[in-house]
Amino acid sequence: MIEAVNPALLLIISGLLILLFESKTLRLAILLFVPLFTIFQVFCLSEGEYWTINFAGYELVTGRVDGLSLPFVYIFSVITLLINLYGLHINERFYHGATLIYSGSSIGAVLSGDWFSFFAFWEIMAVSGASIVFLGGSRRSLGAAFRYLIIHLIGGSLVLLGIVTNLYESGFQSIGIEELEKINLASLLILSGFLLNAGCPPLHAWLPDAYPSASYAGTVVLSAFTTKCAVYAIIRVFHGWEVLIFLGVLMALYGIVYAVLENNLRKLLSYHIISQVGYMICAAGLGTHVSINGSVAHAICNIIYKSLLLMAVGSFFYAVQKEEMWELLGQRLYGKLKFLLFIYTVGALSISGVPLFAGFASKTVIMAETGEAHRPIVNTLLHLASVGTFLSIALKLPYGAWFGGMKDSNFTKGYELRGIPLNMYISMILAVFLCFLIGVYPRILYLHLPYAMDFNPYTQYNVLTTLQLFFFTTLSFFLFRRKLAIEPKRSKDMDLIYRKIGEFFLGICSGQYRIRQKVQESIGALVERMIIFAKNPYDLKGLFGRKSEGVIIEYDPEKMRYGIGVSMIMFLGLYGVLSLIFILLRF
Amino acid sequence: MGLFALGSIFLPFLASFLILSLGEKRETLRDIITVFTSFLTFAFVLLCTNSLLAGELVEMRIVSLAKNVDLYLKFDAFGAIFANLSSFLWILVSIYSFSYMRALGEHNQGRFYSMFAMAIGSALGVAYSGNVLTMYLFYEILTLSTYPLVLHEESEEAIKAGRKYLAYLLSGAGLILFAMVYTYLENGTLDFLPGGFFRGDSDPVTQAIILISFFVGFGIKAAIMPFHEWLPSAMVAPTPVSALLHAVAVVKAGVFCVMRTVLFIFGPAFLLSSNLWFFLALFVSFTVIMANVLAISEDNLKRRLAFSTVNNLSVIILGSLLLTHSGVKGALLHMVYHGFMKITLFMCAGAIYVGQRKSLVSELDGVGKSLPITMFSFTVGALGLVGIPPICGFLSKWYLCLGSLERNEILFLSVFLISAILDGIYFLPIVFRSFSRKSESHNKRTYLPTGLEGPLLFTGLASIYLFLFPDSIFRFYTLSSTVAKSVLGY
Repeated sequence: MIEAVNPALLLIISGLLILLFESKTLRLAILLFVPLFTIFQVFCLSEGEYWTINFAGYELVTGRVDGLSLPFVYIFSVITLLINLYGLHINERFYHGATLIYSGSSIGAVLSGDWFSFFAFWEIMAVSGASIVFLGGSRRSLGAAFRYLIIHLIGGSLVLLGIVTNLYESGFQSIGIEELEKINLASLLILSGFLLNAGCPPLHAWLPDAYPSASYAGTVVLSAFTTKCAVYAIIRVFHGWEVLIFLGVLMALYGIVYAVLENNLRKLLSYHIISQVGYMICAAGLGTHVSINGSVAHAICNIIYKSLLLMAVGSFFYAVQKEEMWELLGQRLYGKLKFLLFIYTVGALSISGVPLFAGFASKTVIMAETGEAHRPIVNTLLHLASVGTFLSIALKLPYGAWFGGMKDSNFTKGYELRGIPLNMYISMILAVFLCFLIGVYPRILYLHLPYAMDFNPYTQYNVLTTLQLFFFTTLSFFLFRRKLAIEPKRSKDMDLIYRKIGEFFLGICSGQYRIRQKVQESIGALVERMIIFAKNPYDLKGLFGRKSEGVIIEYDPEKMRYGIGVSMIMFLGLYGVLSLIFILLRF
Repeated sequence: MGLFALGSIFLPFLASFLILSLGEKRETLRDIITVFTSFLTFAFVLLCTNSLLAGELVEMRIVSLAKNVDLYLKFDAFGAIFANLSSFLWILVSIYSFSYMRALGEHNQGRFYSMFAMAIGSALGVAYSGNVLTMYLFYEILTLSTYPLVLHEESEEAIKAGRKYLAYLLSGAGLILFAMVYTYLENGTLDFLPGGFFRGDSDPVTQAIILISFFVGFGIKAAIMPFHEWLPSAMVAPTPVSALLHAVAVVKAGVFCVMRTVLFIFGPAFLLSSNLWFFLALFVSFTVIMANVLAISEDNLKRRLAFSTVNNLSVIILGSLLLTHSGVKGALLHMVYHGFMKITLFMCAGAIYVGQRKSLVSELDGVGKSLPITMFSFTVGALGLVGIPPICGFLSKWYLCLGSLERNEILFLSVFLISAILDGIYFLPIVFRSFSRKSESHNKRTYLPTGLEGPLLFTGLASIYLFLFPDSIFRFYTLSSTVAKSVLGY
């Protein structure tokens, strides 16, 4: 019974049902019970291959359940429930339908055992993700969704190109997803497609462009799936590639630098997605059993606390209707949103990796393993990224949002806040609970990782170093906070280049189009002149587009004809000449 | 079975004469004849297909025209694909056109339906032809029967478009005639043979000239650049004409004939040894990219779709020129799938025009709210052409990509993928625009007659169905594999 239906298919079909029917009861039932059933189902799954389909000459495996795919499926199904709960009050079936299809296709991609179905789900993910961005509803979301989809189409094309090249090199033997060890065209193409989805610079610009353009609930949905799915794929196919370590560290630092500079609340958190995914990519690059465990664990924790952070900031945005820090300058909202600040802080401490919170349980594994692998530079740089994370998320963001930059003590007189619905709180409290649970009792996380592992994060050394780092970061923040002044400016990123290229390309297209029109017009004009000329051979100048001067003699064919006798003689003469030529040729 | 095969060509012609003799009056009878004929024709074609797959080959030599040249009908797998596609979509489009033509109060409907039926009949004739001469005859009937449909409006612009159409297509026919005669002189036969019958002993330059004459002659109907210009102009015709004839039957007949030339006249051995396939493929690749570039800046919805058709027709030809199993299979599947998706898009464009009197892309803001079913189908068709699963366009894209690698040409693989991305660049803004909430005034739902929205929803869903079950009902997948196997021998 557990194996009756593929959870991916179930979610996608229920998403379609929501799209089709306007009934609110049906929607509520689906939004709550389908994820619950999915959670129940996937936690009962045991390893093996399920749901094989014979399709167009291929044997497709849409359910490869093993140690690596299971943890991702667990967390995807859990987060689907939380997301649905968070957005339960939203009365828009398109949003809910797209969400379910999006999460379903991510689960499908993770469960796929062959390239064909993997790619199919990968593309559905791109389309449903773009529609969630689009449903943000503003003018900005429209453009962002379009750019998101085009960039993912390009990324998808890279992956497809890589997949078929890989198939070709392996002689079209099997289309199962295997790990790629050789560096060749195929693997590089696939890797670049994956890295695009993971948000690796310089292919990341879609992420901070699109995510903050979605609605407050849409951002939460988006943050959970696409990048983590890419992490899964990278671990599956490319674990142990040296270059990933470098790229991971680059991502971790790049995201932090922009996050520290950023003033838009959700955009700041979007940059943190890049940074956090950097840790996972880096760990995947190390390639040992423990580091892969660390990568998966970090993905799981990240999904939980990043959703929590975005839910909290989303609720803040929902209540206040503002998300640029300079708009919030001088408005101390924390008195009215105390509980939200508490929830946010749990997420912030988790992402920073403070002991007792989820991030600590996973980040320590990666940190320890970089030490084990004797990569002190990587270790130091990742520590630096953690400091940046703590600085921007735990200190700067609440300071700017809840405390209005502490400018003056204007206590938001007469400031109307929208009440936050209960279901949003419930969802956030559940996420808070999960953060605590994993932080306090990390074994529950470690049990579900791909490889068995005996690891205890709570050693004296780990706890002390982290606490020291954070203590001094806090201290320096309050000493130097004037330097981090909040100004109404946007930081420039790669998306500027994308847009310029896009505009340039569209310019070329319209240029080509104009050339075509010119050619067509001139051909048309020539035809027109030919027609005029044919009607009146006297009007020779008309053929060259010039107006004839003076009187144009009207053409009358009757006048031009010879009499019947002359015509006959001419015809016979011609006949005679031709016959002569023919006879002469015969000789 | 021979009777059924003959019947499926004969019936549309019969219907055409009946409708023409009815005149402009008795509309109901005319509709009944059209629908009845289209159903019956499709049933016949399906019966023939089933018996073909059961192993029974239907062929008829009707009249001998010259030594070794007969009026020769043969129902092979390749023809079956095209016949199934055209005759099935005819049913839907005729239902659609009843509502469309009435809603717009079009004139001269008798002539319209009569010529429509004749065009379909001759398209089926092209599909069934067993040699070049028979194909040429039906091909010409197809050209001429479409002419009154192009200038149906009888406006200045329509007459110009019609003139352009004839000028392009008749000069193509001249080239074909030349090439056909030359082929006959060289080979003494014109009967199609899987893998090609062309075995001329003359010098390679002459052979190349014959091949290029065939290619360009038929390619004009397949709108290969720079011979494509008649197609965007022909969009002045009523939407059902654009939908069935200028996205499926007529232009696909051009593609069909090009593929006949490539696969059944010259064949892989000749093309590969002379390396001509590569030059032709480069020539066609130019169209694939350029048509999409032009489509991006086109503001008229139907003309934008026409440019997309130009692109896709060349994609099909490019696929068959790869001369590999997956390439040919992908090309054949794309021929079918593009038919389903593009007809959806055209019918949507017509429905938008009927519902809101809008024909420019820049006017489409918020149309998705007023015409949700139409725009849903439009989205399906557009995403399908971009090649996104679970819509059938993805399957053909997959095989085309595999095919270009089997030929070891990553160049053409990137042509396919770039063309898909460009497809996205000009289709997705339409989708996004229409669902955006910018214009509040038009957000009231417009209700269209079922006859308009039913067929387009059906073809939209059918394009999803064809992805999920590529080998059901029409057996397109098996048929294309059979063709690829018979031509290439593997």
